Parts: sequence; C-alpha cells; structure tokens
Amino acid sequence: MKIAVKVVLIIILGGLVPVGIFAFLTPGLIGSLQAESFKAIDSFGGDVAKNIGDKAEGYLFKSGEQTVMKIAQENAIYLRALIKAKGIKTIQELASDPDIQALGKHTWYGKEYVWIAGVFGDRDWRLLVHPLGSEVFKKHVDHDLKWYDKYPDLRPVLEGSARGGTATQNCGYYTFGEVYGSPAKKYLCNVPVGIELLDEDTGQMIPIMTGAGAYLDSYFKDITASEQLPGKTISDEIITYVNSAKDSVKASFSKAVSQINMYLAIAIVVILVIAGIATYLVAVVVSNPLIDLAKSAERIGKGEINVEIPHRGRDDEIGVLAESMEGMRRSLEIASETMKEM
Amino acid sequence: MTITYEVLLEELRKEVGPLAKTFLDKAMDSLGISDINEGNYRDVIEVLKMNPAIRKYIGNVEKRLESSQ
Repeated sequence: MKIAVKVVLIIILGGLVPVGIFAFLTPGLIGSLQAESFKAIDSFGGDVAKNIGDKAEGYLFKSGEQTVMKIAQENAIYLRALIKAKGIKTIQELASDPDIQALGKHTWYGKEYVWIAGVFGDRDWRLLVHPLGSEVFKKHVDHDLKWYDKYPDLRPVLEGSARGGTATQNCGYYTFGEVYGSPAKKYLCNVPVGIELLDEDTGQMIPIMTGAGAYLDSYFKDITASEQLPGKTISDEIITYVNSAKDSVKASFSKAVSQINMYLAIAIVVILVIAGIATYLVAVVVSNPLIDLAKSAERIGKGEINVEIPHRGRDDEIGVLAESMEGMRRSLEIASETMKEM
Repeated sequence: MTITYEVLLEELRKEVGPLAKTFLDKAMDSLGISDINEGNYRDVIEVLKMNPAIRKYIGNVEKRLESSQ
C-alpha cells in the first residue's frame, strides 16, 4: 500500500473515530440531560403548583370571609337607616315590620342566611328575625332551640357576639349540613347595628345586631373551574404552564441535537478535506521524492553510475537518504574507475 | 576542531562513500602510521590525492579541514 494511502487512512481513522464515538454518545447524553431537565421541571412545577394552589385557596377563602363580613356590615348600615326611617322603638315593632322581615329572608349570591338578633345579657344571644320566621322570635339559640348541641362550633361565634351583654362584631366557622358528601363549614359574621330597642315584655333595652352566614364555595363557582377545590384550578393552570415549559425545553433540545448533527457533518467534511490536502502534501513532499530516488537507484543498478542523485540539498530525511545514495554512487564510480586502471 | 581518525574518516565518507575506510586505512598503511592527528593528517591527505579517481573529492575534504582549523 502506498505511503500516501496509508497516511490518508491514518488521518481518516484518527479523525473519524473520535467523531464517530462522539456521534454515538451524544444522543444518549442529550437524552439523559433532557430527562433530568424534565424531572427538575416536573419537581419544581409540582412544588410551585401545590404551594401556589394552597396559597391561592387560602386567599380565596379570606376573600370569601371578607365578603360575608361586608354583607353583614352593609346589612347593619341598611337596618339602622330603616329602623330610624320607620321610627321603630321596640323589638316587637321590629319583628312585625314586613320590610324588616323581608330582609331576614334575603339571600345574595352565596346562599347566605341573614338574621337580626338581640343581646339580652352576657352571652345571651337571641334571634329576632330569621328565615325560620316568627317561631324563633326571642328564642335563645341554646336554651330554647338547642342549637349548640346540634352545632357545637356555633357557640364561640355567637357567644363572642354577646360577651358582656354588648353587641360585638364577631366572625367564625361552624359546621352546618353537608356539601360534596361531607360535613360543610359555613362562615358567619355578626355585626352591631348601633341601636338599642325596647323589649316591651321586660322593659329592657336590647342591643341589636345583624349577621350573615354562607358557604364560601358558592362564591368560587364562577371564578374557578372547581368551587369545591378552587386552589386546584390554579394548580392545574400552573401545570399547564409547566407542560408548556417542557415542550419549550424539548424543542430547545431538538434544536441542539440538530445543531450537533450539523456540526458533526461539518467535522466529517473538514476531516475529509484535511485528508485530501494531506494526500497531496504526502505525495509532493514524501512519495514523489522517494520515487525519484528509487528511479535513480534503479538506473545505478543498471550501470548508469554517473546518474545524478536528486533531492540532495534538502534538510530532511529525504535529503539524508539522497546524500547516502550519492556517497554510494561515488564509491561505485571510484571503484569502477580504479578497476579500469588495473 | 581536533583532527582524529574518526573525524577524517567521516569527512572522507561524505565525499567518497563506503570506500572511504578502505582508502584511508590503505594510505595509513603506506605511511606506516596507526593513528591520525594534527601532525600527520596532511601527509595522509597527500597520499590519498595520489589516486586520481578520488583526487577531486580529497580536495574538498582538505578545504573543509583547513577552514575548520
């Protein structure tokens, strides 16, 4: 095999083998990197979705609580104005007024219950107007109606509104009925009206308060996909963005793979070009001079001992070889002339 | 440069190739010397010049040795 061919093979093998190994390993490495990235995105996205979802759910419930309190406060303002406008002085007049009774049956968006109550003593909280009607008038929610037995967590909310025999703003949750197949919490707020009315039966002045209670999830049904789990809607949206980010990362990796493949193709072309240039240089610098020297040696072998040995002026291995050949040629020449003289 | 047998042989080998040792040893035999030094290398060169086949090459060796002194 000619030297030039061998050199080309060495260059091609030396260049293409690493490129081939790189091309073989790269898809695996990129795939692994991509999987790790997806794992990190999923982990991060999952954490963010859960934390933000929980946080958002907390804010939604706080917002719902504020809504219930605002309804109660607005009712208090409206009721005070109504009582003053109608000149109502006693709780009996209050209970028999159709406009005020209508107020007790009013509901807003969140299936609220609205009532008007009086504070008859320390923690003595009694209904005056309620959706249940006149049958609960002046009834104590515990002694008469036994509601604290049925709804134990109602006690701190109602007693807190009548502590010390005064009407005090107080809010809280209590369990009432079932929603989504499990006991449901209602949020209620009692707010002082700022008016005292005479109880004609006892001659006692009774501080008046009004309140509202609601299932907060009712407020969520039009602003989230799931009124039961409003935070989950936000989590799902975040997961959608996370998946979108994964698609984006996937596209970036695909682009990177395409670029690497293009670079590999360029590298192969460059190696082939270098191999071509090397072939030319080896032919010019090494092979052709060796062929010239071989031809000179062949002519000497045929008896042409006066032949000129080429490439003697070179300062490389070819030059050394040419000088050696020239020395041997001269020896042959001298020996030949000496023999002629004998 | 100190002239020795090896130095002279190398210079001769450059000019006349593998036969240099044969010519050098023969010239030393004819002079009856067993080593080359500053004092006798010119005699050796003169003997070598007597061979017309290598005279021009010996001239080259002589010039190089003289210039190196």
